[in-house]
Amino acid sequence: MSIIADMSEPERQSWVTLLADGLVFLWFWDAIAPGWSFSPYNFSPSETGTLFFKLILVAIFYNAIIAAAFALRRRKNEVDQDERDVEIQSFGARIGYMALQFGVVLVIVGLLLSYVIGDDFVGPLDFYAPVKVLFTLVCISYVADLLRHGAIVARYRVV
Amino acid sequence: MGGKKSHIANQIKRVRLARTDLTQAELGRLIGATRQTIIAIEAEKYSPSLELAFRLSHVLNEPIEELFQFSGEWD
Repeated sequence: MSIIADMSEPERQSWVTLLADGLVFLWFWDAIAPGWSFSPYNFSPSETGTLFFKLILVAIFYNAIIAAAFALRRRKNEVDQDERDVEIQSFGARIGYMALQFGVVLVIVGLLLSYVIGDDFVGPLDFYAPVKVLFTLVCISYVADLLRHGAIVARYRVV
Repeated sequence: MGGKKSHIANQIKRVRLARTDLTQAELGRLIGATRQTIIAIEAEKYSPSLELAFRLSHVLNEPIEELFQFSGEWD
């Protein structure tokens, strides 16, 4: 039996979401910082708005498609999720939450240093332009989500 | 699945095969668990909750202490 056939539905859904999140994150990163660099392109406010609007639409679209596809696959009288799945998803959520917290603290420290030190602040990311703050926050959000789903699929292999 | 074994051993697979005709999927359906969870329990990779353990005991018609044994060690 193949590995995919041996997975429970929540495990399959986590894999699909992990891959979709990863692809969308790579597209967004390349669009905002060509060549996947850490310095976002200096977009105008309208270009920035358009790009983030596209990201929101794409995120809603693929998450809805994944949720609908798995809801349609659900069969009556079949148990598709149980306490083990809930426990594994809680573990993933904990990892994702810690990553998100860590990232938000980094942004707060970066913003504080940018404000206190001003022009002399030299860090891997600066926060002088709103697009840079937005880029960093979206990156943190996506990385936290990727870690959440990564932790879930890894945990399924362990327990 | 190559995870660490639980400190709780069990006789689920032996009892299921010796006393019933249930497949892992059928046993899972009867106790409200997925086939993957039954596989993990039988491999002693996952320790079920007390409620799931009682459901297993009820469906397999075996006292819970016959189905599960604690090694007496923990981390």
